Amino acid sequence: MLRVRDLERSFGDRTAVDGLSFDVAAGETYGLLGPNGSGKTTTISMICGILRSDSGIVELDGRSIDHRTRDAKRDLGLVPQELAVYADLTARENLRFFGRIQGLAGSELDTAIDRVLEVVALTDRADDLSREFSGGMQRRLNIAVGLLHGPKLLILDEPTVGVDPQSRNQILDAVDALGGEGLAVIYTTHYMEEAERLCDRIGIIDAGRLLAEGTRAELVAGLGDAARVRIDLADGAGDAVVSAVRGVDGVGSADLSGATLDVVTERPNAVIAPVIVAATDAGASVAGVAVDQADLESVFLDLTGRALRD
Amino acid sequence: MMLRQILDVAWLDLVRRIRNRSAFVVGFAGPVGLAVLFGLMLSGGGGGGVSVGVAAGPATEEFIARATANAPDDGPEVRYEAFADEASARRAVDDDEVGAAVVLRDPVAVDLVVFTRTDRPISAAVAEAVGNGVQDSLLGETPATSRPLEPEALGGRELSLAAYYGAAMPLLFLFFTTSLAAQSLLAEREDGTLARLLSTSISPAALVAGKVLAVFVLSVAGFAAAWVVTTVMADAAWGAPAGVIVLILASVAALAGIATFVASFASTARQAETLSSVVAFGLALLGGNLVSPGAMPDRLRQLRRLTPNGWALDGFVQLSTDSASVGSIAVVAAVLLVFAVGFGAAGLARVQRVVAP
Repeated sequence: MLRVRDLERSFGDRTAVDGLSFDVAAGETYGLLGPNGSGKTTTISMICGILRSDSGIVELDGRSIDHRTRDAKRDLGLVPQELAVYADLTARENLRFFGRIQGLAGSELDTAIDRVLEVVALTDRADDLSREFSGGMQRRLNIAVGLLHGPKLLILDEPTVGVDPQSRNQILDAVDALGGEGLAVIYTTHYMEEAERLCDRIGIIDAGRLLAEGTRAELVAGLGDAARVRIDLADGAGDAVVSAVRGVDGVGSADLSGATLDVVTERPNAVIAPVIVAATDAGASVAGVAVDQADLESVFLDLTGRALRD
Repeated sequence: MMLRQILDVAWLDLVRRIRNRSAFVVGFAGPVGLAVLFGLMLSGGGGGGVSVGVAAGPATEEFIARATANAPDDGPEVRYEAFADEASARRAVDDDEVGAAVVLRDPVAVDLVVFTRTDRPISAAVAEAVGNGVQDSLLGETPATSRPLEPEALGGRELSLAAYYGAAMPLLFLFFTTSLAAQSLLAEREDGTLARLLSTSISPAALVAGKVLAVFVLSVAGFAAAWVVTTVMADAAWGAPAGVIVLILASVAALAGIATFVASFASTARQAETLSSVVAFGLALLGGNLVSPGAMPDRLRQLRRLTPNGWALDGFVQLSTDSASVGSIAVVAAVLLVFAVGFGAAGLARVQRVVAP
């Protein structure tokens, strides 16, 4: 369905996207997982033709897409990170306008509006001004606009940022249902749990480069028998502690996020004691230790040496 | 498809402006209200200062000196300007460079003529008084042969100030209204809706065209409303309707061109608004929207021809006072269209950068 090859984009001396390649099949939800500033939004802006790429190819169903493309864009729906709806229009008026811009009209448009309002659970608020909506409802309307014209590829750019837990669940449920309808979805996020819950395959992106790609199981399996050891520090957290822990034999990678020291290791039972000693010697005091199965956070930490939430 | 998208974008902009009342304030209440107010406030007199041209051959300087010496202390301050001959004096009155002119055709036969403008009644009265005084002094002690001077008015009708400000105020507001196209694009960029629109099949050109169409409709509607309201409420005589329509359309196009060009230098909607306001008032002062040309210093009055609103106002005055036809304002309309195309093309090229990937 979507084929991206060697996509590149720089802003001055800074390379935002560096030779990115991936594919998304029909019915597949593909997650682009990376921290803020990793190049996710730049990537999808080029896929949508909003931003000109320096080089590379984007093809949707065999048709090339770039900043000059018009017709092929009808097969594409974008849900931007910002709330890209008109606050002074009702939900139905917003949908009607964007539907007409995408070429829908008459009963086809009316049916499409009713359908997406139902998908995002806004049918009973359809004729209210969107500025009167809660943040979560506005986010759902944002998604409805992207879905309205029945695209083959839906791109959601961090759709749950700033959303309350209840609305977040509603959004995730709605997105979860989309893959079953044969829609290809690109879902960008820096929330590991969302990527794990929604995505069939995940591309881990950092500094504009795709570091790894695969199903969750494949990515985690790449770590072997690794586990994630989380050490909560009462005080003394600092770079010296991280350096000391990284020097412990058996530690794959380590990073400090706030007062939590994340360590990836294949021998958790063997390294816990020396890690605590190293941290203590470096001036920290340990408040608690937990060992978890390796997850996407561990994968990211292993690949970049940094925690995803950084 | 593209035409439909343009109409949809224009319709959306108009609906939103009607809903947030900016259409009413900028497109109707502002221009119409000020036009009526100015018309009523100033309906008691002609516009501008008093300037009188004099052409009396070798006696011109003496003529001026005598007129200055005989001027009443409590009268208006009069500026006299010497002309070489009758033709140049008449042309100066015609072009509104002076409010009226006194010409001594034949000093022996005491043949004097006064040229006046119907929109400069004070200048006309002063020139007539000067002419009568000179005529009396030249005829010496034989007033029996004196005959009252018959002023020759240039232009068929009296300028209606309601019509003048009826055009001047909408022209001023046009700048604010027409700059809304660029402001709207900048606001959409700030709000994030521009990115969404550009991810659809709409072309940047169609998007910009839709915005421009919306403000064009709004501007023409506001101008037309001022025409109707000042005609009905203040009895303004705008002149031939076909000419008025041509001038309104040409003025909107010209001001839209300049406003788009100016707003294209802004990077936010707020900046565009501020920039537009500064330029709007500058052009309004130069063009005669706030101060009538007759009251302007000579240098400033000459700069009017650099402004589209100055040209447009000349056209409306011509229509109002001379019963001019569409053909006779063709030059004004053509100049306005040059402003529209020149600045509009440059402005749109710059605005495209806002929407270009």
